[in-house]
Amino acid sequence: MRAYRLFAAAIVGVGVATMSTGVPAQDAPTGIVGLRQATMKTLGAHMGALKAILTDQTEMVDQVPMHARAIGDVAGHIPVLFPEGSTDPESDALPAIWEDKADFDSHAEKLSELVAALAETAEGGDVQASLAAFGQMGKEGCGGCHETYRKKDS
Amino acid sequence: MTLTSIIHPVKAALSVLVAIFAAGTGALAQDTQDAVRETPSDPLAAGRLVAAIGGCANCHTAKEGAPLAGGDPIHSPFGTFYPPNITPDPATGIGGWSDEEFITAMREGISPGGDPYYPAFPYTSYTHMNDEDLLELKVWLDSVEPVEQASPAHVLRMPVWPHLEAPFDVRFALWGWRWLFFEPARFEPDPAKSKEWNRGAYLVEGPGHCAQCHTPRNIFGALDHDRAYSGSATGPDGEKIPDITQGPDGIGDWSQQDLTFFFKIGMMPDGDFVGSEMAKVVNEGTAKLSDADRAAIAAYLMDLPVD
Ligand code: HEC
Ligand code: HEC
Ligand code: HEC
Repeated sequence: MRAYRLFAAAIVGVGVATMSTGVPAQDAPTGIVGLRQATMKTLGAHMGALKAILTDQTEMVDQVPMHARAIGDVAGHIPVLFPEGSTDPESDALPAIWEDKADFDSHAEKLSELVAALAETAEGGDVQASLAAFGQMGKEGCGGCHETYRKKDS
Repeated sequence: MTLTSIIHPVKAALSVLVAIFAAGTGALAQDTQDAVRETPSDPLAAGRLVAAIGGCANCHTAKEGAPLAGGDPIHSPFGTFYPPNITPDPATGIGGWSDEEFITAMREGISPGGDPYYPAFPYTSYTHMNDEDLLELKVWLDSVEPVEQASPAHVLRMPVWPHLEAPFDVRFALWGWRWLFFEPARFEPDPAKSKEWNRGAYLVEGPGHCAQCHTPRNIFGALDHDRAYSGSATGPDGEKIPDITQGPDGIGDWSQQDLTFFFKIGMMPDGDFVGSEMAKVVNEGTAKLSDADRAAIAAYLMDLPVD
């Protein structure tokens, strides 16, 4: 119900000013933050390919495990991409990551498990079941971590 | 509504007092059925679907609580609201309500006792729902496990004296707010548009109550229909509700297929998954609709006017 609370807050805010996070354009971050953002984007790209296979090019379902493995590979490296103190004004990583790094890391592990389940399902060739496994992977694997450890507004 | 009516001092004062959130008279009026229905023929299953897209449980079910037996508090600058128990328990829920009483509550925001509801209950959207959907919704609500659990009183706060917080009732003042910002309406299909568009319009404007989050509000907390769906200002922690029009900050680069898929599993075109409140809207709501309904929502959104 947070969002409802937010408009309520916004109502008052509106009277003062319509706040907007107009962050001036800045160079993309470099260093470890730049790397992990670039790495996360590759995950997004694999998700796009998986979606294209499972909703459109379904006869290519045998390619699902390839993308799933790639995501799983990256997932294993997420923990080291977030070393203590690797903040940057442009980073969406929340400080909560370093308050309980073990929990954060467990989300990466969870992603590895879900993505392995997707690969296994897809090997059976069932597109509908693969789509369901894909949705679960996205919601719980990617979304589960973002919900807790990434800034909402990007 | 004219400017003079807004600035009428007494009414304005009352309205500010109770401008909780949510409101607005939709542009759509009058009922229609056939053009806009696509639900299972079993009323119980159909009603469950209406409740899903209506998001009732998102507010009326507490995190650890029994289904619909009362929700977690909604905090606002105007106080704290407790979405009440809407299970069929006769003493503490809405058991024993007639169909008419239920429809009046949902569509007009008036209780069986004749009192107006706070617009924290999004009846300003539900007012567009048609009779069939509401009756099926009630069939399903009546089938929910009754739970005896009294609903806490709302704790209202006067913005003028923010330190004063007390369970007092300013329902009477809601009449002023309603007079300014609410008129019961019904969905009216646009014959110039396709059946798909009209179905999408109904789902978005009515049960889906998308505007309650995605449309900005005026200083009285009423929806600003001139800027419909253009997103909402940032909250205190910098979170904002995105623009979902075809405008420059909106979703003009999403295809209908992108949107349909988004409403199915929550994935955005860049491969990222939606979070926060929208994840609930998708997982508990749009994910349960038919592909045709999701495509209809997409078609309507893609045709929203850009100001
Ligand atoms: C263990 C936690 C975790 C998991 C699992 C995770 N992410 Fe992320 N992701 C983050 C964090 C934290 C950020 C913000 C990084 C930053 O800005 O420094 C992020 C950022 C992103 C971004 C934005 C990158 C940019 O442009 O700045 C995308 C896209 C993304 N993730 C996609 C995914 C996808 C797709 C998956 C699943 C396949 C996934 N992520 C799994 C934590 C996670
Ligand atoms: C955004 C949160 C929210 C959502 C979504 C919501 N409600 Fe409510 N509802 C409330 C609040 C808050 C109240 C109390 C209003 C008041 O006391 O003035 C309420 C009151 C009610 C009442 C009046 C109960 C009584 O005892 O008088 C009914 C009936 C009701 N809601 C049904 C529903 C149904 C059915 C749905 C789904 C279609 C729904 N609500 C969705 C917040 C919500
Ligand atoms: C309870 C508040 C709430 C309701 C109700 C709601 N939304 Fe959202 N919506 C959000 C929030 C918050 C986001 C941003 C989520 C995020 O960034 O992860 C969002 C994101 C979206 C997006 C993605 C936009 C983008 O640029 O990423 C679309 C499309 C959308 N909503 C459509 C709808 C539709 C259609 C409905 C009605 C069926 C609806 N929303 C109802 C709060 C809501």
